[in-house]
Amino acid sequence: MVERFLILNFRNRTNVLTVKRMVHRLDVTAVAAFALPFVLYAFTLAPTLYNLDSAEFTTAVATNGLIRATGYPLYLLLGKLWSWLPLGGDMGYQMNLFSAFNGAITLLLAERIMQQLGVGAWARLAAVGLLATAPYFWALSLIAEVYTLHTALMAGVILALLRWAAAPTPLRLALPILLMTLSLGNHAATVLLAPGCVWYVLTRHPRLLRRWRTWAVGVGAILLGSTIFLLLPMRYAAQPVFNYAGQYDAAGVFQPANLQTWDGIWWLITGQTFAGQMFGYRLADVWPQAAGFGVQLWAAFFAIGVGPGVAGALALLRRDWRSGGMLLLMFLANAVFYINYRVIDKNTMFLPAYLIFALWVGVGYQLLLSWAVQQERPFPARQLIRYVMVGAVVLAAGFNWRLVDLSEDWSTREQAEAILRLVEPDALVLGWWDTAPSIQYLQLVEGERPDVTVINRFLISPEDMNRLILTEINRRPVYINNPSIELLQRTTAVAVGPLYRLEPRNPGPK
Amino acid sequence: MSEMKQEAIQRILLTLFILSAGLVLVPFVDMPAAAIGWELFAGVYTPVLEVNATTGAPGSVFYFTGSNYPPGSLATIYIDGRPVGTVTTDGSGAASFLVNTLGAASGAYNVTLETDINASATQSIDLVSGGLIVTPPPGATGTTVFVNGVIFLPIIQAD
Repeated sequence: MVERFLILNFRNRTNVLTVKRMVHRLDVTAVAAFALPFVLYAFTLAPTLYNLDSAEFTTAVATNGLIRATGYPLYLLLGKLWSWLPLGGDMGYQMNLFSAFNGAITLLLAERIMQQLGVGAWARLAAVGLLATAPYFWALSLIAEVYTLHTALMAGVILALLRWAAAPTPLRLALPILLMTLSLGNHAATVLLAPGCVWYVLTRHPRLLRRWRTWAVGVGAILLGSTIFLLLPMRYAAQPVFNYAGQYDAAGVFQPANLQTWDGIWWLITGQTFAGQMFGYRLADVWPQAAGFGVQLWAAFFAIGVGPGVAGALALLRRDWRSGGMLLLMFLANAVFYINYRVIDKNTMFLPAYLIFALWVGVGYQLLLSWAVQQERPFPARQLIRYVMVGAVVLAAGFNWRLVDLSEDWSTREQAEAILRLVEPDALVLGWWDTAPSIQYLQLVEGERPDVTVINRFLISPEDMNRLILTEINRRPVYINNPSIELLQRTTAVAVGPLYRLEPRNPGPK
Repeated sequence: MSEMKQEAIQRILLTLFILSAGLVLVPFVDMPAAAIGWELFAGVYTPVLEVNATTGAPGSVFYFTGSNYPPGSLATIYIDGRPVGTVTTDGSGAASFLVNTLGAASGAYNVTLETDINASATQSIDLVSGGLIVTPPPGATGTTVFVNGVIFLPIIQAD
């Protein structure tokens, strides 16, 4: 009996010691960098399906479907794996939570990068806090989107490169290369990181490139990472019910792009449908766009982070021109490309630039704190700077909450449900991104109104759409948002909720 | 003052400058005030045409403003499907114009502003005899189009 008691007591003590050791080993700063933003995002998360691209991504993940260019195969795969977790809520909520998780992972990795750059715990947390509460970073962590996965992979690439530089081996270089290639499967804008990465590898350990093993491992990593693109022909072969990689013809028949051919894959993953928007401004119009980016950056770091960010960039370049140059090239490539990208939602695309700027903010804060070390008496400068850093994060969170909070936003679901309630049996509905994908989600994921045919106007040429409508209008009810004048001249439009029902115009005098 | 103290003061001043560098822009830059939601980015797909009043007596002048159109594009104004004039949208995709209903019969008229098939919006106005005469808001400017083809003849004064 006594022996048994002693054994049990020993086991308990061992367990307690193990837990204590684990807690001791646990990096509280890293845990806070992940957990605090994740909780913040969970509180403000969109509770269900969200609109525009979110609805498209969510529907494609749920139905094993295909998305428009650039295909996003990594997002489709990881999203599917994520959706298998027992998270509760509908599919829309689950995919929104995936973005929150990726946003928090980005922040954790940013914190680790700053640690590698010699930034102390307070400065790391403060910089991560400003990025976490930046309006667009926060907003895009609350809805199903590819951007926070993109920044998480980007942070992973930077961290992997810094670790490789500390102990350079060919195998260690394989990790950032693999992550870069995989990241291309999530967002084509990963190519904008390449100049910075190449710069860093060439300037840090150029001799390593003379070894054939480095090249062999690098090529192997690229080949391995590229396998993610095989998902596209595989899904194409399965003829998914939700497919945005193709076009409708005038008969309303969807003509999918053949993703089992090299031309089809290349057309999709290079985003050739958006080529017209790239560098889409005349030189005279670029300046207002650049100024707009400056304002966005200023607001993202709540004004107070701007000075430390610039100081941090300069300090890092002076202290370590190789890693400083890498971050600067990544920042400039992203900023210049998106400043010149002519799309309405470009503000959502600057997150990679914000990530780099947050790293500079951390370095800048650390600079200020180290200056303050010698001034503890009589003026507690170090303590004051900490208060300012923490205060900025708290104020930013409070100020931006009202701009980004989606916890009560059911508008997308309500709009789609209203449309499906209003339209007549066997109707043809034509709408844009703010209408079509959310209705398709209700149909394909939740099984509502399979009798209704929905076409996203992005997937049909205007001429084919008019021909289709004028043919179908005599066969079944046709609904559209914003009918063109050509349609109005030949049909009568009656407002039905957010759509118009088109009816054949009766011949004869008015 | 010792050299160390001087350096300490310099560092404090530099620290204050760096921390407040962004704050000095506060009076010149507006903090974001609009909620970031899908409605903010859906505009490109749904041009909007608004009018200062939807009902008025014949002879009223209605002021129309269109937004969310492709920037810098030639937009055609239609009344009941008949082209009556054109305007050019500005850099933000907005355009405004006036519809003069002088001599028009009572009834409903559909006014459409369209740049292309995918960027078209329609707004209806009702002309009610005996109703109030609608006038454009102060400062409203833009191309004027007529519901009825009105021809202004020159006045020739006899000696």
